[in-house]
Amino acid sequence: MITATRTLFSWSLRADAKSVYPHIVRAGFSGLILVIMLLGFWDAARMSAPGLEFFHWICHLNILLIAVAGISYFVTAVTEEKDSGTLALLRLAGVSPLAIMLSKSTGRLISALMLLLIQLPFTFLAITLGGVTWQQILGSYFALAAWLCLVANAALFCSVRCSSSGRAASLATALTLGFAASGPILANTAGLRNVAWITPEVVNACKYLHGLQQDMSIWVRIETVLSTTGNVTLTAPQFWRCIMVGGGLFLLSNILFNRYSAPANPSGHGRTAGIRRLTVGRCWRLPITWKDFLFFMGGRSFLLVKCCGYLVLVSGFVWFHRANAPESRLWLSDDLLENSFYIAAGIMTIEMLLYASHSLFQEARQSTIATLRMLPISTSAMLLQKVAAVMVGLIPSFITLIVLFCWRPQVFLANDDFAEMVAAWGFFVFLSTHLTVLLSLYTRWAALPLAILISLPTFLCVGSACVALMNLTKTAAATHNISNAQWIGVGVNFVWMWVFVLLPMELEIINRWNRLSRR
Amino acid sequence: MPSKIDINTVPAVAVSELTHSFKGHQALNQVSFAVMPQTLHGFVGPNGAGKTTTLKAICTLLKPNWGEVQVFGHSVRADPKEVRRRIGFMPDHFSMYRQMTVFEYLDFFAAAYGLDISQRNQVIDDVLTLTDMDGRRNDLISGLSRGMQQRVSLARVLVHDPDLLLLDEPASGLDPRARIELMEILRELRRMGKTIFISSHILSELAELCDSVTIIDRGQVRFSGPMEALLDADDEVPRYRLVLSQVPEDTVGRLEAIDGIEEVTEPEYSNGRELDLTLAAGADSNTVLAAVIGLGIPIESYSQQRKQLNQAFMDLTTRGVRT
Repeated sequence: MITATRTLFSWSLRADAKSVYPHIVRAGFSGLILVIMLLGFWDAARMSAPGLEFFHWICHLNILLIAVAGISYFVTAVTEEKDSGTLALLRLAGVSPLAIMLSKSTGRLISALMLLLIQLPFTFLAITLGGVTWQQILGSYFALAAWLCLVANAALFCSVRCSSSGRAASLATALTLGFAASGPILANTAGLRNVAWITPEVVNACKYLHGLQQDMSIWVRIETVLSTTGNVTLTAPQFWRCIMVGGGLFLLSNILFNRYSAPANPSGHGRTAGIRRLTVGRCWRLPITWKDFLFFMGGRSFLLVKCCGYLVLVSGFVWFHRANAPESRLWLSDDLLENSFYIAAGIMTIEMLLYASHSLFQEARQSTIATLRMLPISTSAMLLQKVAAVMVGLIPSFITLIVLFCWRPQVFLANDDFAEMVAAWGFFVFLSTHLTVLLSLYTRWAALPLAILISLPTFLCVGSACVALMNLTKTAAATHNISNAQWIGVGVNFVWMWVFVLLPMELEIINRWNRLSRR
Repeated sequence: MPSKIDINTVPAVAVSELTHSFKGHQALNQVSFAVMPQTLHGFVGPNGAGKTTTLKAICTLLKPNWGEVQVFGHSVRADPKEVRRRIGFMPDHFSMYRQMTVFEYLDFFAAAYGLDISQRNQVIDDVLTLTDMDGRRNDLISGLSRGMQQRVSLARVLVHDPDLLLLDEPASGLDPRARIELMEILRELRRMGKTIFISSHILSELAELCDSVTIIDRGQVRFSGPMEALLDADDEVPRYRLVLSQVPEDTVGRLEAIDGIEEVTEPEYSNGRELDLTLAAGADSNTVLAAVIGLGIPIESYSQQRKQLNQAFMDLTTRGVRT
């Protein structure tokens, strides 16, 4: 058994070392760090601690990438075998769960740790910019490595527990959002005074859990390390807790492996004809939209779950506001209205990115591209129908955002930067979803983290052009006494972005799709 | 207005000087052949011969470097939409949405071909009856056996009532029973007036099934024409199989002494009672038979040996793996 485990593990490491893509990603990441550093040098003259600022950036980028990798790259470690029905073959061949997990998941973890390691020499250059010490850099990387270990093993647990990649990704996303939201929820619940059921025991429990959450939180740890002026403890409680919880999840996955190793059961819409008539029904006039919505995006039942989720989210904010300020005549304060709007927008962004990474990739994985191309529907019409399916899946998010915005639009419109924020968000979402779709036709599972990695520097590079164009439009509009100059600026930016950035990507997606159909 | 084409006079498939290469590797070299309407045409060749590339060029998925492909008179380059409407392509690998039921799968493709709900109901009923999958319409595709999945694939190809079916290795991976049943369905489709272009490695079944055949090797057509012409090719010297109930001593020598018999050989894998007689050019087989009977050798049967498709295939294609 040890020989089989070692063979599989070393094979996966060798495969990673031989494949060109991981090296390109690492080189790309190093390049990105150099770009951010150059920006740091650029700003060095007008900043007190450019090194610290630069390193802050790098840490935040790493946290984001680890989260994205958790819900897309690590989470498919075992489910990809379940999806293709090869897990049973591996088990029949006598490969133990430990060997499978080491080769499939730990191999990916080591590959991701290499991505952190490769940054180290470059980030040490931040010391020359000033404001950061080598102990802070090492402390941050220790914290990030431990966090990566936790995320990878939590994703492995989801991958072992769930029967398909889609479900595992949903569970991992829910866990990630739950962990991020638990901090403010626990802290604010402990602070409520006017609720009968929040007894001192509940307050203490909330405080204790909040403390645990903060002790494991990478955000808190990074902020602590970067604000410490003296010696930094490299292996703080956050490090050990993340390692221990990660190790525990790995063990749990190993124990549960056989119990949940059944292949994906695609009867998500019910087995009986009567139930399926309700959950699936007849094909729509847009057949690709029907297929994608029902079979790639969870269908009507998942749509209902999302509606309930958003209802709970908004109700939670309303309840919190009523409990915190019972004398208020508003259902929701301005701050909470804005917070709930931005949280819903964030969740919608994650949904869009996940759908983008799955939509075309599923066709490639099921080898159905050639069959679809034989239909009397042009490739661009087919891709538009796929976009329409994503739109149907996003209906609960859209409705939530519209309801929250229309509740008191003045809260949002009072913010002078709201138009720019919408434009920036739209730009980033369009760019990253296009990139994700394109990359999903090239790579097996890492399309989403790669797309985020590429989108960020691209966004930085073209962002300044966007701002300049926005200012130019505003000036021109002011000269001609045209109101709503901000929104005209947003429109202008979207037009040039589509022509020069998105359209070439769309053409490449069509080309790649057509090329894949010939295989 | 497009001109109306009579499908009985125009070849179902006309491939002319088709040439294609991938990264310097010549996959097809001046491939030309024709398939007549309402026939079952076999397309055989060793691995890497260019069968799938040719199929993909016919079904509009691949734009060849050179040459012309026409389907019922419509060029695949100039009129790919019309060609797609007229053909049904079943690829060599299973490409199915396994999470759908059989009915949902067929409903999806029927809707994609623009059929309305009432038409879809009728068409799905028809194709399910034809493929004998009526009782499995509400089963998940993932729960079906390979043979049944292949039938669903065939049903999918038929939903838009194409005139030409292009089937790439339809019987690969099927057990003998599923294979025989599939061949029965293909025969039925031919009776219904469909043209079937079938690429397969299972030569014995193709020989029974096909009206015409094209043999391709290393990107070049080695033979294309009616099955009879292939089996009779190079068969100017007739061979007869003699099966004896018992073999007296020196039978071979006595047979070789008969006027009109050039050579007597024992076939490979013989049970010892079978002999192959090669007749001399112009010899009459009946005269030879009378002479054999005259020798008093007890005869069980006497029949002309036709060349088998696999023999023709081996003669026409080159040994070894293509590099």
